[in-house]
Amino acid sequence: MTSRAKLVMFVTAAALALGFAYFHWLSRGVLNEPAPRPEEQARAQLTEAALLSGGRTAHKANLYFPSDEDGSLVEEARLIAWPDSDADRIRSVLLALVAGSSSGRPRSLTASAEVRGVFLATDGTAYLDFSNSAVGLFAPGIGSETLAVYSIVDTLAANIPAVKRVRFLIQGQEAETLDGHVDLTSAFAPDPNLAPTRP
Amino acid sequence: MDVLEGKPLSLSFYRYGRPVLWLAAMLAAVLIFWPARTLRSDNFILYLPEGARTIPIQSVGRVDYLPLLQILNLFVHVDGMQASQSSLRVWFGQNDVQIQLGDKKVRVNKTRVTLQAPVRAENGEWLVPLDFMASALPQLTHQPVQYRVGARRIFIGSTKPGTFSVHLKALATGADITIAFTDKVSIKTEASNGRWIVYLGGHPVEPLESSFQFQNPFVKTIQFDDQDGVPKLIVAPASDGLDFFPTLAADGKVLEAQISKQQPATALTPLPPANPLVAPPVPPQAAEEQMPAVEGSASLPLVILDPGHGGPDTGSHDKNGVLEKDLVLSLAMQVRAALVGSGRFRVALTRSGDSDPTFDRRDEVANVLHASAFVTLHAGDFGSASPRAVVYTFEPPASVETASPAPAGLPQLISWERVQELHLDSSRELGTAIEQALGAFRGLSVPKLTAAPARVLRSVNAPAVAIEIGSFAPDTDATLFTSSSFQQQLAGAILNGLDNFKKP
Repeated sequence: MTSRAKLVMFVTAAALALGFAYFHWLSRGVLNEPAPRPEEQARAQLTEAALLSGGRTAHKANLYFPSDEDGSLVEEARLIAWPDSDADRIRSVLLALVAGSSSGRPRSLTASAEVRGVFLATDGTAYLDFSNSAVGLFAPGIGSETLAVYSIVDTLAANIPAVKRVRFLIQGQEAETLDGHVDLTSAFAPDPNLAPTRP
Repeated sequence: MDVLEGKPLSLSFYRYGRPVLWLAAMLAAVLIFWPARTLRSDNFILYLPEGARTIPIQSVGRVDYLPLLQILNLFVHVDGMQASQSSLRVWFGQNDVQIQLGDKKVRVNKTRVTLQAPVRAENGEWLVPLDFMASALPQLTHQPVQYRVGARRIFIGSTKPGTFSVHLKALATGADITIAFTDKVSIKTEASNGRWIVYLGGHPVEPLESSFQFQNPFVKTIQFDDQDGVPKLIVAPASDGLDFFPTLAADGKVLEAQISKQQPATALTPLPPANPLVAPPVPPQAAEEQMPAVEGSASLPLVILDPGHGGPDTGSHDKNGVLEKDLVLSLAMQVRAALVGSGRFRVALTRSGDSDPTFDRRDEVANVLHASAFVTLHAGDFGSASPRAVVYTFEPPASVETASPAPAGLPQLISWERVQELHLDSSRELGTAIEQALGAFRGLSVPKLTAAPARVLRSVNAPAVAIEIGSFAPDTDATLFTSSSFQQQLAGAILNGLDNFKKP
């Protein structure tokens, strides 16, 4: 190899090395950029924060999650902050359901579901107003939708004795179905046939 | 000239130098054309009585921050500032703010306020977390502040945010969009980059939902955006060649927009359907005017088959993109063929194409035609239990008392909404007969008859069941369910079940 060829190769190698160093320096700023937070994750963090604060005492709540395989509800205990009023307790229990099962059970409420309002009437009917994001995005079908509804109803009735039945609203309006299957036009009382089982 | 007359490059350059130069050139090309990654540039929007302002959000880890001095400069004239490496004090009028680097506690007018995250300093700017806007700003501006935790906009002073709801009605040749605002708005629309932009004037808007997604051949999404301080709705069409006709109605509170195919000079020739089993979409109005055709001899019992979902309501889908509405329609066609072919039943379908009859329309077909049985077909998620078929009968929500038959000699009066409650026993007999027949289907798991408050069964004035097959979900493969051999066996089992139910 002649000295001229060696010089060309040396210059090329040096240019390549400089190029790689520059590229590495450039990429540092891009790769260290914080990952964008999906809305679902942000909501989950807000939910978590809400569950851990706002109440004076911790309460062991029994949450009932759907089990699609055997068409029943499965019980999970959860410590949550326990407010003084029943309406706030309903909201806390719903936020715990939104947070999801710790053992990987299907959701009854999507992680992005927003509880827009809770109202407990004197006759024991709890009116729950969910955002549009509570509809869809979970396991579809007649069976799974039925379990999702009774997961909410049975959980509320089991933890808050004042709740006798539950009426669902979506965006403040009466909805015909939750996601195309279950009739939401009446109030739901707990279903004894879906007696929760412990995992 | 000396250069041109220089010594030619040696052979070793051609052997080694050229490949190296090519490599360098390719590397340079890769670096030049490397796809740029969009950096985050979210803004925090402040709606003030005099208009909207934006402040860029700076995200550090998982916490969003705003520069303190930019916030204050929007509202007040800062009289003085005292800064050290670890603390900052700003005062104006009778007000005073003190912050410490790395400390969650800030002092606002001699009151301690605890923020969600510690104060930071980046690139010479003092940063406070977003909740500063709710917890400290009202004490400094002495104005009401409306801020929703998690939102990236705030309403200050007399500004009252409005909101809106979106309703989409699918038509055969387009879609009608109705956007109802809580306040009167002024609308200005324009088309840009294949999308329609509806500017909402200077009205402060706090959307309950920032994005609406539709499974519709005409509209893909409607998204709210005010990142540049200008509230607007961005309507994204699902395909090219569509027209958008917006009009403002109801005293400026309702925006009605029609999206339709551009009308060609000559009449369109309908395209043949991709799936021979699926007819072209039927306009809903036309479908409501007449009853579907009934196949079979008039003396035979009539079975109404109801393929679930349809039209814009696709139902669920599997991981290969098979839609529930298509799967259950093709299954209904197989069941129809089995029933009509047996010569023992008449059959009518609530839909034979890609239309989406309402629940009441589906039930109306059964009631007007005096059905002997109603079978609705669905596909659903059963988790890991697959293949499975579940038969459901109607069960009113537990809080509703079941209607009882009228005393002898008196007419039975019951509302349309609850008419199925008169047939709960016969529906259970029908469900049991089909469940037992399905049980003979080798390889198919069939749990015991189940009751569910299924909306489509509620108003059927006949024995009625829902059959759900699966597991059918976005993470499953529905190849088995789409195979004609599976569908024929399932149709045969349903025929056997109906035969057993018909026997006295």
